[in-house]
Amino acid sequence: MSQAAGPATAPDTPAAPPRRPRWLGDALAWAVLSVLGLFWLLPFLWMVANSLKSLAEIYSFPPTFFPDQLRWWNYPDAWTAVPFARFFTNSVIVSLGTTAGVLLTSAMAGYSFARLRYPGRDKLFIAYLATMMVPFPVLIIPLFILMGQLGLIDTLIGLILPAAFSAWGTFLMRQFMLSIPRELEEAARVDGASYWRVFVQIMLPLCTPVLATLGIFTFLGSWNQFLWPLIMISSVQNKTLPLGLTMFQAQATVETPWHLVMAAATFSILPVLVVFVLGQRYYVRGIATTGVKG
Amino acid sequence: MTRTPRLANRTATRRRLIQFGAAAAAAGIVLPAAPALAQTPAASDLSGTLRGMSWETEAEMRKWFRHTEEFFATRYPNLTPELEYGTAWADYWTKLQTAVAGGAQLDMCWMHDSRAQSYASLGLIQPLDPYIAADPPQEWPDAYYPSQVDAFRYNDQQFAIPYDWATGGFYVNLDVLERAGVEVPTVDWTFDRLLEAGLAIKASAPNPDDSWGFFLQVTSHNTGWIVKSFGGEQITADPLTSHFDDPNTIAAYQFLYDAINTHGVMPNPAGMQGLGLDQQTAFASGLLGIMASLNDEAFVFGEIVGDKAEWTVAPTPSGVDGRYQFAGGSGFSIPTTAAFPEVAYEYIKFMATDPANLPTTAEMGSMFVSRMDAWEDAMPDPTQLDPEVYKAVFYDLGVEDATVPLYFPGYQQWDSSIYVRHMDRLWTGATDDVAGVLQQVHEETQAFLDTIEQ
Repeated sequence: MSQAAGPATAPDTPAAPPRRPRWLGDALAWAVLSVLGLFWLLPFLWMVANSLKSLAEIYSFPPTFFPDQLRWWNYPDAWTAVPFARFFTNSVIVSLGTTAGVLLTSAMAGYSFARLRYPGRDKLFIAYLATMMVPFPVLIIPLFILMGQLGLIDTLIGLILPAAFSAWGTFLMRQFMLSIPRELEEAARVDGASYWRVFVQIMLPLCTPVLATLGIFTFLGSWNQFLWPLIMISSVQNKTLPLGLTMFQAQATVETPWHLVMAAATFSILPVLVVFVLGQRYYVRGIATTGVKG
Repeated sequence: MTRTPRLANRTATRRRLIQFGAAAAAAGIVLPAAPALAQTPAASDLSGTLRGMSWETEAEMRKWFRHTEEFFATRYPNLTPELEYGTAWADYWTKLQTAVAGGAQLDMCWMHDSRAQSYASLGLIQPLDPYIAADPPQEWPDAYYPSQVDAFRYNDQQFAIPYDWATGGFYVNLDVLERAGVEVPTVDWTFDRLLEAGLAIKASAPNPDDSWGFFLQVTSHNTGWIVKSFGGEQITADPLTSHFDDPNTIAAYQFLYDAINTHGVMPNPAGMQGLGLDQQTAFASGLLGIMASLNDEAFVFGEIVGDKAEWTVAPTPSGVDGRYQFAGGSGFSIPTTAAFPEVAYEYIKFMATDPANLPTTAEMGSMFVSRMDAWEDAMPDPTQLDPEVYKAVFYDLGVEDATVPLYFPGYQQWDSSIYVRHMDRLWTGATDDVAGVLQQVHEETQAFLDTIEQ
């Protein structure tokens, strides 16, 4: 609209009530969200603060937020007290391996359940989905025996293999693939593409957003996995970071060097933070995607 | 002290039983088993991996490995020991149970007296009597703490070799006591005297509402000695019988209830947690004058308290029925999935009972080791605490008055589903009907005990 067009409001129109400026609403939202964000950030800040204190300072009341003396050496002490570099490497291998496995199997299974036609397909899908209702502790001993028979106890493969198949991931992929126009696939089929080629060259590229979402969820879940590695891993050299953190914990709580535990916990979450920051939009989108209906 | 003759008498009976059991095992079990033991390959020919599981930390295990290397290098050079460690206490039991139930090879494991009965009853660990009869530890069982030998017996069989012995006592904040004009507790203190001291400490605190005189643990196993001091019992054996409705048992719990809710001289554990506190923090910060804990805490208390307070240790009080003191400890067991049980037994014996190795073993656990004559091997830093005071409180009185809680199969389940569920109502002040709550505990406990095969 040009300036020459004059005022938009006709002279005989009653004057509209003054609108609250938009910036005020934004400022209020920012203020509320900042306070909430700080609230959520507090445990993390508390962890970092305690990682720089002495044990005696941690055991003092009322507690102090800022350390009397910044004990930066808690970090090298924690890093060298147990082989954290090794734990770190193991966690990276297991998390990346599990993520790759879940992406591959979930995408393939999702494509099968969404697009291929065969007898009992939907019943099979529901049966697979129903496995999500079985609590993991019920599966531990059978799974442990199975891994024992495969000779995978105390190996990183033994951590990756059972986690590389995800009913939830399959559900997520199937629902997303159902939303892709079937015409795209049919055009490729008319051009002579095989199912495998359609899957690899048509469907997978279109599924990039949901693959990113699934990958981030899987990586974060795998990075924090504790119970299964606890059961499976017995040697120090195969421990992952969550197991490594517990190596500080003694039988008696009072004997646990909490300042070192906090230092170790701080550097153990850094990769998770990086993954989250890089993939934040996919992570948030994924929460919405899980509600997509086919 | 009236305890000594009774304990001596009880010990003699127990020893006769164990010696008789050992003789019976030697005659009836070991003789048939002996050829099997003899048929195993010569020690140096054995090859493979001996697997063990521990809850100890990396630092503690470094001490343990000193003699481990020596043992395998000289006796079993082709066997590789793989001892898993660094598993936190609570997670250890999940892992151990899964590993054995899942059939994984495990040749030896750390065991605790609170769990031994359950693991033995589930068939997860094996009786050691054949091994003990064939090759007993030196001066077994007379040189060992009777309470710990007994604690690992189930159905008249020995399921672990004890390796440490922990006793309870008081940790005293001298600055707080001086402010209140209260002297350090002595062995002749009664629970009434403790209550008086608690009231004085609380009254002298700058902020009495958030300060307490003393702290006694109110968990099931930590209240057993208090109940006995009042002349009551929690549960007795042969057959397992609940006594939570006993008037003396009720009196003991009434004392604890009043200390928390009537007088406010003892913190309610849940309430203290709500303040972001635990008893160590409250003690170190001068909010708590006297706290009960185990002897191993003396090894780290200096670091926890730092320069915030002067502290020492002192005896726990007596009740109308005399003086008792908490005791407990750990041991080593052989799981039923062991591939090398004979070697595991020899290894356990070498590490936990050989007097030449006990100084190292003692360093690992920060507890008195299982042999009574090796108490000197486990003493805290003398610059932090006078060794004579430590010995008098935790060792001398412990030998005389120690009592181990009666653990039974399913103890942990009983504890969480019955004891904690009901008793928390008392500690939090949700009800003041101590006798009524204990009647409920009694009835449900007896019903639970009746389901246990005895």
